Amino acid sequence: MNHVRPILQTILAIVFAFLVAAIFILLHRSSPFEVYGALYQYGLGSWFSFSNTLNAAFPLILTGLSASIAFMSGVVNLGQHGQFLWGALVCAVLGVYLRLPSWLAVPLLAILGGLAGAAWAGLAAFFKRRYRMDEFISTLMLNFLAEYMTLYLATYPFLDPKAYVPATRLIRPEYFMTGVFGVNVAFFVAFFMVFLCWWFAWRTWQGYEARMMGYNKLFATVGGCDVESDTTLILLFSGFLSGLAGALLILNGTQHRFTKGIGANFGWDGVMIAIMANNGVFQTFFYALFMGFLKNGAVGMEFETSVPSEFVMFLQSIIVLTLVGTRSGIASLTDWLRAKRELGKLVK
Amino acid sequence: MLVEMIDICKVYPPNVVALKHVDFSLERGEIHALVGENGAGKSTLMKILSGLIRPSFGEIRVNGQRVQINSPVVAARLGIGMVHQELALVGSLRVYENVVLGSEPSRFGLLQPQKSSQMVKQLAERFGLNVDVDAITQELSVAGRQKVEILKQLYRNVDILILDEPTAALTPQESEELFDEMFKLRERGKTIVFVSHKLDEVLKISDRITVLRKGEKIATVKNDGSISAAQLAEMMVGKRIELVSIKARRPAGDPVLVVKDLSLVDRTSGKKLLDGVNLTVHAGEVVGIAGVEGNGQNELIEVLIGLRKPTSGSIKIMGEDVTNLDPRQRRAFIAYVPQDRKNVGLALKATIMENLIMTHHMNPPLRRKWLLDKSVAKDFASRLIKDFEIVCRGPFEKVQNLSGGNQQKVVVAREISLNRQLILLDQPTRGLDVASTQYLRDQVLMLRDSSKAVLLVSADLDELMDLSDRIYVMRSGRIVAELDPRTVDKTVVGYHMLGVSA
Amino acid sequence: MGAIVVQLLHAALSSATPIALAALGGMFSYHANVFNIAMEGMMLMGAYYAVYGAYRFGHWLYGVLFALLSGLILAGIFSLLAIVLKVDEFITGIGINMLALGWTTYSLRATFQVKGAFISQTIPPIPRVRLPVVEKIPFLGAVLSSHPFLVFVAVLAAFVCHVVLYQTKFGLRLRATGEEPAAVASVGLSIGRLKFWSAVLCGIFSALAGVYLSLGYVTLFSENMSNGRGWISLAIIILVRGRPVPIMLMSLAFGLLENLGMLLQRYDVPPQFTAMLPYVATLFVLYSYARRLKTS
Repeated sequence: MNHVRPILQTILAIVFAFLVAAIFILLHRSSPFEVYGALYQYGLGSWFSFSNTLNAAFPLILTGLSASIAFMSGVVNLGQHGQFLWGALVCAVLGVYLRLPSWLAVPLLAILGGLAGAAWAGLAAFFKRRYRMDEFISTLMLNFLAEYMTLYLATYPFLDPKAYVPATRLIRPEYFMTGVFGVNVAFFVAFFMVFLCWWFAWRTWQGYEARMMGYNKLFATVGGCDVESDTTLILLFSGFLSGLAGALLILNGTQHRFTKGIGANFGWDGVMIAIMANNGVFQTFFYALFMGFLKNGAVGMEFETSVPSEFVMFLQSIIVLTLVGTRSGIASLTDWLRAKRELGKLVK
Repeated sequence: MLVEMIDICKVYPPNVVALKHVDFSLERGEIHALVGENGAGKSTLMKILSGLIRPSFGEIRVNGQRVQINSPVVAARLGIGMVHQELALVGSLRVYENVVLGSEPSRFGLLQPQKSSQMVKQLAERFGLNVDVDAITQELSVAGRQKVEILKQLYRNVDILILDEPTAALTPQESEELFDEMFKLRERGKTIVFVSHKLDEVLKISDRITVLRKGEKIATVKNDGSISAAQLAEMMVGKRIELVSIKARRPAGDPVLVVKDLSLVDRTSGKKLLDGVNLTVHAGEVVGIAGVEGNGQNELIEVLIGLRKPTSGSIKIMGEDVTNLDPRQRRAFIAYVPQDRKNVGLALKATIMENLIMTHHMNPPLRRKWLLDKSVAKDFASRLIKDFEIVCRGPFEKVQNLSGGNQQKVVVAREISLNRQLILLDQPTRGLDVASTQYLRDQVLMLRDSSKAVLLVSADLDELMDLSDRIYVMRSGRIVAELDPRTVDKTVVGYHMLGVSA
Repeated sequence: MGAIVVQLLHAALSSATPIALAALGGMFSYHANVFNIAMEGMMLMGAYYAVYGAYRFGHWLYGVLFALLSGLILAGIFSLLAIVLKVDEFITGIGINMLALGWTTYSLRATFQVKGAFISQTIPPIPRVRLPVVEKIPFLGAVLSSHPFLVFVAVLAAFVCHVVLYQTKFGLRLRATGEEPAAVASVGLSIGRLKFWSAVLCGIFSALAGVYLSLGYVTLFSENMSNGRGWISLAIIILVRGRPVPIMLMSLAFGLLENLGMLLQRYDVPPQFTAMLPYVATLFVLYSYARRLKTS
């Protein structure tokens, strides 16, 4: 019962969200059935669609985990975007110049990308620790800085002269990561990180401190948790996950280079996924797949119907809002109903 | 009958039954005491009467007319107003602004400060309430702020004034002054409901007494000398519980906590929050800290636990200087039961187990290098639940589902099982029912008898007198007296708290 | 040199306006103790509907009207979620920002059939105001005159907000709500209603900020054109603890900085670096705020 209820709530909320979105599809003078049919067809309909959904989901899983791990610890890291960009850029640049056997280079590049993301988040951690600057705004501002800085690097020092838009050169072809039955290896890396995050949060000693800090920071402080170190660690870890997402997108995406506007919304998507998942690790995985499904299906939707793929961006936000609204609403409703029942017993 | 409440029931969502078929009535011009222990439903009943919450069932009549009291505004129109236990005042506003808030004299939406101030001043004079209406509210004492609350209701022209535990944070002398004011109000035709669990006060000032127990009305009696405190107590609790007094004590041992010249200056205002505090707590004794709320007790605790750094002075625990250690390091010496269990003592959304292993988690056997041993944690939690009789469904239940008393037991179980030499107790029994209070007091005395050093901060003077071997009195951040509760009277402590000579 | 300074100050006043308007809106929520971070989204939505209304119906007034409506709708959604359904305010705010981004991106494509930006000669901008007397004053005249009228609305609004906040019933109750909700509830005022009005005001002001962005500052709509201004305004509110006149002054400082960048571009500083200035400044603002807290 304890596990069934949240799942039922979630399904109810998602159905409700799709109903709300259907109204807007009707306003757009399209048929919701066709639109949703196309979404399904291209998102889940065949193994090919499904594997593409998984491939679309891997950066989302990682940025989602990045947000979930941070939020569950009460650390408001909204800098996924910037951390992602640095991960991508570092990986893309080193991927051009680094000369190592590929079995060594690929994992190294992924890890270095992750570390770049961690370093960028580490800047916010430094600000927090040294100057007590709130990470909520500092990570946001660092997003903008990362965007302009990486753009500068891709526009001037590392520009591929043959490219039409600011972009770095292609990474060495032997570093391209492959797939298994059409599923990117990066997806399995992301899947592994889900377990790593779960293990960290629920099995390690610092994961416990971090979660307690998320529940109640003062409680953790008074209880003897080293909240400053825990916060730093969480920011670094969270940044690493986002940076890794960026690096893997370079290694195992479609472009294999850093271009202007790469990974446009992965950062905020991750934040939305964490919100929907209530910061749960496995829920994050599930919602990231769901988002990946929407993104992947969007291409088909545009192809098959008159609804542009941008509609999915709107659909996502509608789903987030209805989901949190319904969840909260159902919770107070059930409380109210229980109170009614209790009163019924009393005045019978 | 001025007011009749008939067959009132209240269920708080999701399933907390606060009132069961309660009848209550008021006659014009009486002081009616409403007594019962914490959690009996006194405040709930009065919040219903004052329109802050709605009853789930039942009806209310005022002057024989059936009424729906949907909001405090309706209540005020019917002449009913309530002064809450947690005073509901905006600290940064001036006194008169707090009084007029909600029905401000204004022209085209613009406030009229002079007029407001004038009106409130006259009101205060008319009812003999001595308070500076232009002062910033947060600078007033608790007693002063209470007057502001009373003014707030008088400004709304109420005939029925409900005072919820008004003497809880007052010294005996301040309580006396309040009683005088209540008598004056009664003379002017006001009806007063006095909510309290202090039976001596109730017997002293009230005309009638209604007793509630666990959401049910036990009786309404006339206070004409026919009823005794013991009888009332029995009605309140159901069975006779004698709160223990201090037992024979052993001589104190070596000093455990030594605080020297401890000062804390607020950087913005330059105000001295702590001013040269010296105190010592020995092994095997309970040392009480008395004082009117807001005189440095909170700051003292915060500095001791390491949440704030003192401006000067030193803290030594068992001979070791801990002044510059952070809370993490200090917890090797200190067990701490904070005043605010919901915001400091517990993580409400976490499980009982997760709450119980806090602080313990830093050391083996719970900690194994990187890992936290889950099976050890579970056994540990189950053992504490059993030893401390925490009523719950198991170690994985969330703490927020527990009753207040059981939540406090979680805190106490965790801290006592730390087995530290020094124990800081900050208002440990606040908001607990008699049984839980009794339990806690027993624990304190057991700790003392096992040669621990206990520092007890409490606003409840009776509790301090009952439990402490020595009492320090704090006023304006200073220790102004060191007293022996066996040789001095409660009123003497009160005089020191207020700073007037006996 | 004088001409450059005049130009700089003129542009600074212009850049400060959207930030100031959004910050004045957010200020009401700040005082009601609502953690409202939806300014970014409300601004973006306002900018889109300003262009939509003005373009569709051929007059800037329709732009303002549509923008205000969009602001009110978002404020309504915010209130529904955060106040009625009691969803976390922070989460609601992020959701609203995403909603605005998603909806405007989609609408841009669906309505105007363009990606990225909608530019047209036929979008009527909001009128510029020439100040008859001030205009003649040598230096000041050039700085202050011929701005879109919303610039003056913003400056005026700072003073009006000051009066509203500190000298009216509404302001008193709002501040009381923020500091001690129990006090407000105990006299029978509805906390939810006060919070709702603070959200509505935030929606109105942020939408005006959006109007200024897309019909005043420039005359076009581009994807995500608020570009962090809502977040900057939030930082300003926090820094000055929600006082209206300092909000205006801080916004001016930001406006100045944004344009200092353009000055630097003349000396071959890459545009990517000059574009960073406002965000670096926000970090600095945060730093000085934290520092002040630490030393005080």
